[in-house]
Amino acid sequence: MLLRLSLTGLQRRFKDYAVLFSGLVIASMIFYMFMSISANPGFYKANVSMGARLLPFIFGFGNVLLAIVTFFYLIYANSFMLSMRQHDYGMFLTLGAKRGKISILVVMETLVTGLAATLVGIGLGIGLTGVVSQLLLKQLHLDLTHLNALVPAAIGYTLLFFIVVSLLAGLWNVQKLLRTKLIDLLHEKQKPVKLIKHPVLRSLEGISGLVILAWAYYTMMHFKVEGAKVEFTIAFFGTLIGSWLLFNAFFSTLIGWIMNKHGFTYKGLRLFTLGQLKFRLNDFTQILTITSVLFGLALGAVTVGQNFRSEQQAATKSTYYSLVIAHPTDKIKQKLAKLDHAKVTTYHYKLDAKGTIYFNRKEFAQKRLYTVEFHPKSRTYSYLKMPLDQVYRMEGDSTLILGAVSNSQVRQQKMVKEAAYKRVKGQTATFLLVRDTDLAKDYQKLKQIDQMQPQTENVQAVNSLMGVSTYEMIIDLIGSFEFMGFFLGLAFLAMLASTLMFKVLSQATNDRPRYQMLFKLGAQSRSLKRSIAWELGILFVLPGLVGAVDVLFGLGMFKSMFQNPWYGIWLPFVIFAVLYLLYYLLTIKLYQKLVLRDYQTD
Amino acid sequence: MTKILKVEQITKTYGKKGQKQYQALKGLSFAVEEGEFTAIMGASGSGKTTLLNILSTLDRPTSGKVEIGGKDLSHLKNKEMADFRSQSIGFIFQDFNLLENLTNRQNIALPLTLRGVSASRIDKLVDEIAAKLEISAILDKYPVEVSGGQKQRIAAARALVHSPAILLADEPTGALDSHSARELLNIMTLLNERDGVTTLMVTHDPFSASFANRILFIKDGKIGEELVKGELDRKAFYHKLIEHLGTEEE
Repeated sequence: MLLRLSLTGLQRRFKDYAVLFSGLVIASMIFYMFMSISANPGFYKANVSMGARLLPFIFGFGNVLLAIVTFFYLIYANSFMLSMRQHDYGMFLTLGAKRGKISILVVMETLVTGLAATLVGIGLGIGLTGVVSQLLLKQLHLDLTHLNALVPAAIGYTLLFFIVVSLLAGLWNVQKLLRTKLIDLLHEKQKPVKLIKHPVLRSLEGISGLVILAWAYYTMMHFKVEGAKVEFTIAFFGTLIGSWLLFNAFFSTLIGWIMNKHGFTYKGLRLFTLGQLKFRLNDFTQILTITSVLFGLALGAVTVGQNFRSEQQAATKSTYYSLVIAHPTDKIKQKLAKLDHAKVTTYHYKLDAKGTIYFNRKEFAQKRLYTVEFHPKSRTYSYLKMPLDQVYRMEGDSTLILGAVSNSQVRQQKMVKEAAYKRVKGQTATFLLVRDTDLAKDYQKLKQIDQMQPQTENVQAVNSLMGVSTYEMIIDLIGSFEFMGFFLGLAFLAMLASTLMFKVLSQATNDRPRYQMLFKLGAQSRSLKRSIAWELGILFVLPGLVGAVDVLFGLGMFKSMFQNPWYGIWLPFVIFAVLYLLYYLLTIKLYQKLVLRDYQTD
Repeated sequence: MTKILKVEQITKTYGKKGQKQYQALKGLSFAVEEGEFTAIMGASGSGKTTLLNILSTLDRPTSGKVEIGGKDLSHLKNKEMADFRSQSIGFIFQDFNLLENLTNRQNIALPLTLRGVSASRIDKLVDEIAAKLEISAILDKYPVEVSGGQKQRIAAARALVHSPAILLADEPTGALDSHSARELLNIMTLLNERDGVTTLMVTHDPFSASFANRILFIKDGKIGEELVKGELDRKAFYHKLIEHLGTEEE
C-alpha cells in the first residue's frame, strides 16, 4: 500500500523528479566517462610512455576530486528530493505508517532512483565517450590509441560508487527525517534563519580571508621547485581557507554594508535580493568554497593541458636535424625537393673493399655539421657549428650521424684529408641531412620518406633522436595531457555547476513563501523574476570569479615548466564561461518555476 | 461619506466547464465606507478566503464587480493589479509573513521600495509608523529576535507604511496569545479612530470581531446578516455578538 502511495507521489511530482533524475544521469555519465579513461590502463601505457610516472598521480588526484564532487552532488540532489517529498512522508506518518517503514521507503526510493539514473548515465556515457573523444581527438589533431568507449571495469566502478553513495544519501535523508517533527514535515515552514552576530569579528574574519588568499597567491607566483612540497601546501590550503573565510564573512559583510546604503538599496526589490543573498551566502559557504576551488582546479587543468601545446613549438627546436637519410634514392630526393621548408645537405663517402668507410674532411669543413645548445634560464635553444677537430675525430654528436651510414658490412669509419680521400678506391655514395623548419606541417611526409630507406639498426637509432621522432613523441605526450586536461576540466565544471544548481533548487521549497509574500505586497512577477536572476547570478558568479583568480595566480606555479603558463588562457575561459552560463540559465528557469509556481499570473 | 470598497454581485466558481463545479461565492454584495472598521465573520468553507483573495486582487471573480477607492478592479491587467496592490492595499496575515532575512526596518520599508519612493522619504515614513506602533526600539533587529506580538506589529507597520486606501487583515490575531491579540486589536482600533484607517478584518474569532464597528456574516457564499456596534461599548457589542451567534446556531 505504502509503495503504491509512494509511486503516486512520484507521479505527481514527475516534473521535479525529471530534473533530479537528469541531474543524476549527468553525474553518473561524467563519472563513467572519466573512469573509462582512468580504469583503462591500456590507454596510458600505449600513449604516454614518458609521462607514465606522472599519470597515476594526475588520475589519482582527479579520481579523488571527482568522487568528492560527485558525493556532494548526490547529497544535495537527494536533499532536494527530500525537500519535495517531506510533505508526502508527513502524510504517510499521519495516516499511521511507522517511521521504520517510511525509512525503508526513503532508502528504497533513493536507491532505485540512483540506480536507474546510473544505468541510463552509463549507457549515455558509453555513447558520449565515443563521440566526445573522437571529436576532441580530431579537434586537437591527436592520435590516441586504446581509447575504448566500453570499459567493463569502469562500468563496475561507476555502479559501485553510485550505489554506495545513494545508500549513504538515503540514510542521510532518513536520519534527517527521523529528527524532524511530524508537524514540520507537514507544513512547509520557513526555516528560522541563522543570524549574523558580531559584525566587527565578521569583518576581521573577512579581512583575514583576504590576507590568507593574498599569501597563497604570493606563494604561487614565487613558486620554486626546490621547496615545492611546502609551497604547494601553503598555496592549496591557503586558497581553501582563504576562500572559506571570504565566503563566510567577507562577502556577507560587504553586502551588509551595501544594505545600509539606503539610497542604493531602497529601490524595487534590491533590498530583498540583497537580504536573500546575504543569508544564502552564509548557508552556502561550504559549497561556494568547494565550487570556487574546484572551478579553479578545473580551469587550471584545461589551461595547463593546453599549455603543453604551446611547448610543442619550442620542443621542435630541441633538435637541429629533422631526419637523416643514410641511403637516399632518386625517389626520396624527388620527394624531399617538394618540401618547401626542408633544407637538404648532401654528403659523400667511399666504401672500400675491406669494409672501411672514408669521409672527406674538406667536405665537412665546407658544409659544417650543427649541434644544439640549450639555455635553461631563457628556455631557448641555439645552434652551433660542431668544432671541426671533433668532427675530424668523429667524436661527440657527429658519431651518431656519421654512424648512420654503417651497416653489417662496414668494419671501420675514417675521416681523411682530401688528398687521401681521392686516393681511396671504392664506391662513392651519399647521405643526406634534412633540416625542416616547419615540422608541424611536414612531419607526416618526412615520416613516409624515412620509411622509404632501409631501416637498419643504425638508421633507426639516429632517427629516433632526430626532429621528426622527437616531434612525434612530444605531440603524443602533449596530446594525452591536453586531452586529460580538457576532459577533467569539463567533467569538473559540469559536476560543480550542477551541484550548485541542486543546492539552489533544494532551497526552493523554503523560499517559496517569501516570493508569495512579495507578490501579495504588489511586486510584479517580472521584477520577482529579475530579482531571482540577480540573486542566483551573483551566487554563480562569485565562486566562478574567485576560481578564475585562483587560476590566474595558480598558473604561476608552472612558470618553471612552461615559457608562458598563461598562454592561450582565453580559450578555456571562454569555454567555461559559456558552459557555466548555460547551467546558470537552466537553474534560474527551474528555480523560477518552483518558487513562482502558483503566482505566475502574467 | 464615500464608499471606499464596493462589492457588487460577485460570484466565484471553481472547476472548468463540463466538470464538476463548485460555487464558492454566490452573488455577494456589500460596501465599506471610508474610515470604517468592518469585520467579516464566517465559518470555514463559508467563502471568507475566496472573498479576501478577490479583494486583495490575488484572484478574480467569475462575475460581478469590485471597486476599491473608485477603481474598478475587474478590468485591471495583471501588471496594474500588482501596482494597485502595492499602492492601495495593506495586508496583515495570520502568520505575519515577515521576511526573516531582512531586519524589521527593512521589512517595513519593502512596500515603499516597490513603489519607488525616495530613500530619505522611506526612512522618514518608517520612523513615523514605527513610533505610532511603538516598535522604534526593535527596528534594527531581525524578526526571529522579537516576540509574536511584536512581529504582528511589524507586519501592521508594513501594511500601513504606504498609507493604503484599505487595510485588509486576515485572522490577524490567529497566531497570537490573548495578551498580544488584545494589544494588536487596540492598536488597530486606535489607528482607525485617530488616523481614520479604513479596515476590513476577516476572522472567525468573536473577540477580535467585537473591536469592529460593524460585523458582516458570510454564509454559503453570501452575506447574511449584519451587526452594527452603534453606541455600544466594545464589551456590550461582544455580548450582543455572542448572543447573535447563539441564536444563529439554533
